[in-house]
Amino acid sequence: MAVFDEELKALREMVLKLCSMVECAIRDSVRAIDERNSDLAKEVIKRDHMINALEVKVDEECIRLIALRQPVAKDLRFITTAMKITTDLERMGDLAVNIAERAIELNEEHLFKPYVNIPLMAEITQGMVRDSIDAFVRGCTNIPYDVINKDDEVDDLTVKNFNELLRYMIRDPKIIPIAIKRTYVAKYLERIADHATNIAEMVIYMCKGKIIRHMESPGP
Amino acid sequence: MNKITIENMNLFYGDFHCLKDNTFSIEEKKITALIGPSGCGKSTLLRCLNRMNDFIEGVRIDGKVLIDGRDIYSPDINLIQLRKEVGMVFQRPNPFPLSVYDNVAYGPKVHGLFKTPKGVLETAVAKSLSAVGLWEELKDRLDVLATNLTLEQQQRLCIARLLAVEPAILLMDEPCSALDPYATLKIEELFLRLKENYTIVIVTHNMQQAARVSDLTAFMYIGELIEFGNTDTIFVNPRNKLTEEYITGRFG
Repeated sequence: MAVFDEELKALREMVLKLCSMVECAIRDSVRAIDERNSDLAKEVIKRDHMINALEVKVDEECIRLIALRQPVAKDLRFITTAMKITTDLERMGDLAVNIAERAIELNEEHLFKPYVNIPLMAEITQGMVRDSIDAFVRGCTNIPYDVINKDDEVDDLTVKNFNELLRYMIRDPKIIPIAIKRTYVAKYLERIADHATNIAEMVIYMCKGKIIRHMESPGP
Repeated sequence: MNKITIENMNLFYGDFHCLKDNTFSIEEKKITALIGPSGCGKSTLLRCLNRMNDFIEGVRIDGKVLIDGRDIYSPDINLIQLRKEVGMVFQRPNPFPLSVYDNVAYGPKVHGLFKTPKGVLETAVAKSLSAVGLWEELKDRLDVLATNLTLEQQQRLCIARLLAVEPAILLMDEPCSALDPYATLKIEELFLRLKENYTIVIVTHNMQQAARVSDLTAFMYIGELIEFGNTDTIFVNPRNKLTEEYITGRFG
């Protein structure tokens, strides 16, 4: 059994690595906008294939463990959770690439309004990812119920961001192409937060053995 | 519906307290698996259900086993009748050194079930062999010696031998441990068919087998019933830490 425990530990570390790569991609893509740094944006785009490759590796390892170890109970919940959350992590990586692409475009244009909502959304979203993965890695010491509530904050900021930009667009229609790109970025972040929520829900499943998706109040 | 109710079952082999206050119910026409490490008492518990432990020297049994509401340990119970009702299959197939036909016909003959009219015994043999999927293979060589069959066929035959006396409950003590994976799979498929008509209790060391065939699983440890519940719950999200350690192979 010691061998299996080692394998589970290695899987946990792989997921942790994938997670830190995704967190890094999100952080850098938003910094690329905030600091108008297109080189950084290009870096994010260039690094994405590493996230994709690691996602495949994690998946393969999960399938291998299911086939060879026939896991049950907490081992089964851990491995299936790893398998599902890597899909979310990989999608988050893709969304970071989308943000980076918009960053390169936005950095070509003049800054008609400083970035306020986007960095804030990015910060909350990254916190959500970190809290969910923490519980996954540390084996349920802090069950990420909070993450699900934070998703509402991100949703609200998406709407707020849109309304503010709308006022600018009405005032000066020339900025519409640029403003729309900024609404896209917010939308990407909002979707990243949705994926973080999925991860939190899966981690809660792993810890509690109960699927809380699509439920009104997921509390403890 | 409950077919068997075990109430405060305590069993001692001399000074050794083997079963400790086991209380639970076994549902009718379901497969219930008893799992647990060697020596935990699962086979002993199984043998309590048709009073096979009665023969063992120095055994003392407290508590009740109700089958259809009737305590099988009450003095007025007819043991032969009880063991006809509650049949048992063992680890190694144990056919009589007789022909296939005589193996299956033996029980009905002993019980005098099919004295008249003529042909009824033949029909019962055919029906029992069909129920275990042996009829097509063996109908033209019913006179072959049972001990010459493959192990899987022998185990099927032993089950057919039980069915011929029309039991309600089938007890299986590690019924596949002498069989290869393919034969095991075939026997497991047989269980799933049999549960339409019989209540089955199976003791197994093979966790995957418990997961594959049973509806309910009881986990036992040093004579105690630790956890009992739906098999899916036990294998996906067991409540007890000991159960989890055992089924994930991290025991001890």
